[in-house]
Amino acid sequence: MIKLTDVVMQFPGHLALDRLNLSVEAGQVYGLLGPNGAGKSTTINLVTGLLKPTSGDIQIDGVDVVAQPERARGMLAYVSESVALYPHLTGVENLMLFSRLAGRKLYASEAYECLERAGLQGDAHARRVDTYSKGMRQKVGLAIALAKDARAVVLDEPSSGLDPSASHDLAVRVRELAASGLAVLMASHDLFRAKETCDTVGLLVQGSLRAEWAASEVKDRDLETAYLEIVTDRDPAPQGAGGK
Amino acid sequence: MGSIFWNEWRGLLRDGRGRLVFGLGVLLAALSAWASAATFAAQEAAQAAAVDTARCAWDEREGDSPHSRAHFGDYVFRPSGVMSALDPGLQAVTGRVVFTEAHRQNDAMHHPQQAASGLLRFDRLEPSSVLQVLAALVIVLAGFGVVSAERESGRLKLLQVQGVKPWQLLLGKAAALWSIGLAICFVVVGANVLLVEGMDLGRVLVFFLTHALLLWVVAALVTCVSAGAKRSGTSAAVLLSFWVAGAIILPRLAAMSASALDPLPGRDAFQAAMQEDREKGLDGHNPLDERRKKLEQEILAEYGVQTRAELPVRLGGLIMQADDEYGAKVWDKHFGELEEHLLRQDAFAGKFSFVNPFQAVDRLSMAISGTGLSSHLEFLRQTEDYRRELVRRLNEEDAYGVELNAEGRLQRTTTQDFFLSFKSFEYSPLGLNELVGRQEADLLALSLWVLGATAALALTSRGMAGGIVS
Repeated sequence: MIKLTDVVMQFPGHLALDRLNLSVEAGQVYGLLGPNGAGKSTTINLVTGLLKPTSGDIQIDGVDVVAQPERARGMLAYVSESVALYPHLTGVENLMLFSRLAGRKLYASEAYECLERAGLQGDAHARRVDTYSKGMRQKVGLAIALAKDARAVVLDEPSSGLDPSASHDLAVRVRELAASGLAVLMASHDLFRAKETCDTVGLLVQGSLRAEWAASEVKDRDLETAYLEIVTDRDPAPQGAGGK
Repeated sequence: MGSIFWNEWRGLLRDGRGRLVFGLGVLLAALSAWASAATFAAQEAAQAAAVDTARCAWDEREGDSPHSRAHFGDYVFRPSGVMSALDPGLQAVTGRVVFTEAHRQNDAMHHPQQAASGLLRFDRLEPSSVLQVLAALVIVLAGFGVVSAERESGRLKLLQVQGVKPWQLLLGKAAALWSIGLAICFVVVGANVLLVEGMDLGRVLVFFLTHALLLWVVAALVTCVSAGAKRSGTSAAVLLSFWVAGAIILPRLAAMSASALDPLPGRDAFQAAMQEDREKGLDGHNPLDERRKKLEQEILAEYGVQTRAELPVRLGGLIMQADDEYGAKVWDKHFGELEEHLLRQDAFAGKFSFVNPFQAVDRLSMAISGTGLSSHLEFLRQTEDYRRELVRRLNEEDAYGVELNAEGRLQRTTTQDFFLSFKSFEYSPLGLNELVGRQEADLLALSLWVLGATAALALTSRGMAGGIVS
């Protein structure tokens, strides 16, 4: 699981996160919504250990990210908005390289299997990734996460820039990751895809988690209304959902 | 780290620009090795022919008196040494042939730059230049984005989440860049070892290691700058500026500063001062005529005679020897001052080694190859020693190689065997330890650069480890 407790992140002259508490259980997908500058990327950077919090506690499956960063990273996979791969390598070469860097040597057959599971078409496996679409690169990113045998996955705006079909496909893969027992934290702007993909949706505004809803209990329109009202500093809660 | 290392190579060889840069580097390295080996072979052949011609001219000349032979003189050729194929150093401007004769010391002549236009500063593609300038540029071009491109593309985050430690990333990248430079180094040095006969492998190894250290400094600094730059364009601009400053501007600035702050006397002024001292005496109170008269009186007294005609030896030979010995003192004084001046300028220029690793290695490279200032001065010293001994023997033969004939007049006894007994000049190059030992400041500077660049890499990786916002 991923657990953040009273996390504060203070940059010079700017409080990015203010006592953030958030928990993602194994097998769950948590969607972190919020406008630009809300603190989503800071949260992702903190969970991945790329930033150290000013105060508070961050754990991956019980391992403190600050105290034991290497162990924590060993249990965490990361898929960015635009999965950055080595353009001179093929999909399978990228997967094998990133796995080797994570300390896991994959056999070619295992690598092809991971790519298949991530939904990448077979004819693309041995093609250089500079010929890939964004959706295809996201799938290699998911394959890298799968191959790492991680306990938790962090996705940063994964559906941004994808066409509806690719976005839907990604949502399906993310749900499969969660179904395999991983805790999934997904930062997103896409309310509807987040609701479709996530078990829980949290709304982060100016570094504070203003609301948290069970996705299955909120209607699309209510979610949008609540999002807009909270972001524009009105204070409602969507019908049928537990505002926080 | 191995994965990062090999991935850099894969990226270089699979990328069109990478292939072009590396391919051009290797091509130019191979061309320079071939060209320098060919030039070396041609120069050696030409020099061997010239040595033979000079020797034949000496041996075959007949009917000379020792004095006229002293004026006929002899050509002294400095062997360029096999290592000059790797670094011709100052030989390109100092010359390797000196005409030795009685009464005067001549300058070295026949240097390759006489045959080149002064405007063509980059007309030569020497192996040492390829290693010091071109290989460094290839590392810069291949490496300016080595970390910054990872950051720009977002891969840096993924790499770090995958568990790659900053020191592994930077060391792997720096090692890959270094190996690119080393590959060029291998081509240059390896080809020269194969193409030039009789290479001194000990010196070649030291030459290789010295350049390998420079390339490590370049690779480490390129990696640090790339890691510190937010954008690859910034990294490229900074690194190319450093390269231009280190490889092109600072070496010239050092030479110009040394010349401007502590100028050498002009050639004419130097010769005029020598001539004046020779004619007027070292202290200005002992003119040539008086010295000669005094010496003549001393010799006449020594032999207990009143006139030259009564002497059993040729007075001219003794006076010429005395004059030559006096000329040697004058030369020692002036050349000593000039040598001190040159060494002072050289020491001043050497201080730039502490701000520019290219200069430290350039100076060490010349020393290792036996083509630096120390070697040139040593050649001039040995040449002068040879000239003095040549002239001494000829003067003494001129003075004592006589006998009284039946008519009571002096008659020469000098035979052709006497002239044939002269051995040609043989240059004894300084040993590697002595040459490198004289470059203590450059060794220290290079060591500091290596330590500094490695420390910079360590500090950069520590900075990346302390919380990365990429």
